[in-house]
Amino acid sequence: VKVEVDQDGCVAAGQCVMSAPSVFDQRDEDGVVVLLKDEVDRGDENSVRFAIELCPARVIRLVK
Amino acid sequence: MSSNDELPFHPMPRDERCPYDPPPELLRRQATEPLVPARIWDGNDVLLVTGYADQRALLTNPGVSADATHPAFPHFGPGFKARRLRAPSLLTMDNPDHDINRRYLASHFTMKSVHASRPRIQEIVDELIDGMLEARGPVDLVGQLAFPLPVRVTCELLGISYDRYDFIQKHTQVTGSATVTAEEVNASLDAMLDFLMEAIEARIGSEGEDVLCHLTRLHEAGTYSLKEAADYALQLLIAGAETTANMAALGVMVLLEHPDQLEALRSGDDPSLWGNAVEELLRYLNVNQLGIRRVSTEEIVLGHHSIPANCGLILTHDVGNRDPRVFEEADRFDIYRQQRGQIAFGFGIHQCLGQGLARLELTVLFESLFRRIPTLRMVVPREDINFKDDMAIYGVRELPVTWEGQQS
Repeated sequence: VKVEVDQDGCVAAGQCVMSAPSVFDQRDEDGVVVLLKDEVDRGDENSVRFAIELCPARVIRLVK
Repeated sequence: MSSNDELPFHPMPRDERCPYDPPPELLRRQATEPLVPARIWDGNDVLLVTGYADQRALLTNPGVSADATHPAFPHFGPGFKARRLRAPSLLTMDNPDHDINRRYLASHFTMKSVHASRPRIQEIVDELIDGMLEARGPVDLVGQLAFPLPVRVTCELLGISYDRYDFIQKHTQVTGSATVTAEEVNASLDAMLDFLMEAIEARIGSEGEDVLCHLTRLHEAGTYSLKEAADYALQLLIAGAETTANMAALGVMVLLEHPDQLEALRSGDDPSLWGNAVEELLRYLNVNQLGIRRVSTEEIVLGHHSIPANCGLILTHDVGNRDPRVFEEADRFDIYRQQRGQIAFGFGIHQCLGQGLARLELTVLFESLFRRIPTLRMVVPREDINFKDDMAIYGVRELPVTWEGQQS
């Protein structure tokens, strides 16, 4: 599974980094989400689902 | 629908015997009424949105606006109305303006920045607890710990000297009140704005890293006028203090009233349990007691109901966070709860920018307080504590505490 983010809609709330710090990070200058990796392995899948659920701007999604 | 004379008034009263719970009438109505017509302080009629799922859906719906200048926008009270109409704020800005302006400030609130501030927050908490331990007789936890911590953290973040504590404390009490007049609020806002504009002017040409230096550079670059730059600083100052402070004081009370869970936190070897407890306190207490205010700009269909265009909306997230369709045994305080997604910080693009910092301050405060003063207890019964029903942010005015072996 791959994870995708829409940086344009990100509001830098940091929920994704809290939920899945091995997958998501934030740009230092404006807090916008960056992916540390786009392939999600089994170990990360649950925490990425939490991130999707908690993201207030709804800009994260999984693609098969 | 009942005739207009019978509309319930919002906010509804709490039950004095259950001061941590939302108004019982609102909880009762939530079970059968997703939308409750209600009247607010200025005589305007609004719809209360009671369910968690509907609240989250509306907060990400493009037909819902936070624009406080819209004639149907439901203000908190006369003072808040005056404040919201003075200047645009991140809280009341729709996109695209909101995201642009939020990103100017976001670098100070990334998870990385928050983690980096942990040692300093620990130092401040330790100093404040040292002060409590040296005091004789009962100590007011609100005045000695709950308020000084977030005010000091916010001052350091902005770059304001902490000796302005009394000044900030005095004026933020005025701006946070739902009952003060527009004149009173304007006077307090003017005083704080003057102070912040002076602070920004004094920083012109400086290369510091604090928020005021950052805002000064945005002013120098022509992005913000001096007043706009000061306005953003003021928004952060107001947002960071009152909210965290009241969560801290109420949180201590709730933890003391659940001694088994407190003991598990104190003696446990799982540090992540404190994080869980803070999350549960945020859900359980939801200190923003006046709800999230919005206005519809088009007709919106919600399940079997519809909201007309240009309708004032109050998303009562205090009951949203107690919605039994989402949170099992929602009225029980349970630090082991696995269900995430509480919306005390809001949802959608306006979700609290400082939430990571707030969580960290609360975690360090609770963990340190109960580790260093394990026998902490309240001096008076809960019935004698004065709760803040008149403020936008719920809390207690004073919380006298003592402990075994305290100097008298």
